[in-house]
Amino acid sequence: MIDSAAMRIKGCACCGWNGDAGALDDPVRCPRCGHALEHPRRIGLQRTWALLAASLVCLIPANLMSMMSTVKTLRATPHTLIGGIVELWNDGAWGLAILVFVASIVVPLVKIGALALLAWSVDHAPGWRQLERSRLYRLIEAVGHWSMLDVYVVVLLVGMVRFGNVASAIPGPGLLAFAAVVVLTMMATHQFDPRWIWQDADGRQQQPLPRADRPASA
Amino acid sequence: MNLPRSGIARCSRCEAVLARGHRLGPEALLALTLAALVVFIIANSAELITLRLRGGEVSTTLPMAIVAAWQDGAPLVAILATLTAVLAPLAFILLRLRVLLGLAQGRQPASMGFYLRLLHQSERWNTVAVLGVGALLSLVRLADMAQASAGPGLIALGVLAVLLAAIESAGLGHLWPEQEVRA
Repeated sequence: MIDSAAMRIKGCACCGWNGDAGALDDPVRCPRCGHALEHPRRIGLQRTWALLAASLVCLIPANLMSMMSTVKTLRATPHTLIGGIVELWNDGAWGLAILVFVASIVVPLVKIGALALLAWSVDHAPGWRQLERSRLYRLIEAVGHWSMLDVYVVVLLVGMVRFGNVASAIPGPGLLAFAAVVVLTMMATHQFDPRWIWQDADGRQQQPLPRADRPASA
Repeated sequence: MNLPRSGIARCSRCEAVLARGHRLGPEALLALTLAALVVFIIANSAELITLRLRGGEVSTTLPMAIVAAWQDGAPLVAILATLTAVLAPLAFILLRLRVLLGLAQGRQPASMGFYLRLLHQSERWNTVAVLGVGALLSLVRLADMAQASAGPGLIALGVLAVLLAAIESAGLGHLWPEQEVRA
């Protein structure tokens, strides 16, 4: 019989090692690959909030300033994020317009909102809908990098359309702001440790529910 | 821990995937990773898109587009694109090759832990699939101003995205020999 109360079972998110961290020389590093086995919660939450705040600030220029300017027969036209989506929609490419709208507008906003909810609930609602919160975290972790879509489109258009004054594309200031939103939200997601969802307000690991109380898994 | 093929071990509390009984053994993964290296080289050296306008013809590869973005006043975005679209998949492939080749010879590389943590990061920041869809999108955006066609690089990019996803789904845990039991 293993005395689970005396042991501190940990799992490594990087290489998949798991075992008793209490028996290790260095209880916060994975003995196999050296990845951190736990992240200090107070500092980690502060970093998550700081990165979220920074991404929220960058969201404003990202949406207001031009992502790219196109020059066509000596006339320069700026294109904003929303403007590009409207152009796709008016061209009849509705499916693509929806795709870009979801990847560039919906995903960053939902990600910031969802991560704020997760970070808030760690301290203020520790026992609340833990399974759903874990799923929410996995979802935003999985879709996060898809917001890079519009960044790549601009980089490729700039690389392609180089016909001087006849037709050319130049990156705008909004591009950097938007790329910053994507990177900052991805970093915020990585700072958040989903294991905090399963701790109580003091940061102690909760005991797993008895089998019968557990909802049937899908 | 031995899982049946295509079986999935999930956390009983949060339902996160803990391990997969992967269809592919280390040899098959090594072959796939070598294939990914070849496709990666094609995807970065062949033309992504070719554009014809008023008798002129321009085609661009991914490195050329990144250099153009740098020169036209977006150096930081160019660095970001290099990291996520070129260096992350390259590190993903080379580090796996290093570790898998070692395993094939029956020994572990000395800095295995370091390689693994780098691999973990390269998986997180790899955006080859996103770049592929982005290239398709820019093809559509270009179609109304000039005659645009997809090049071999774009096809290679699609194949690379599929290969990397297949390799990544095997996880990193299988790169270690059976975990020692700690009593």
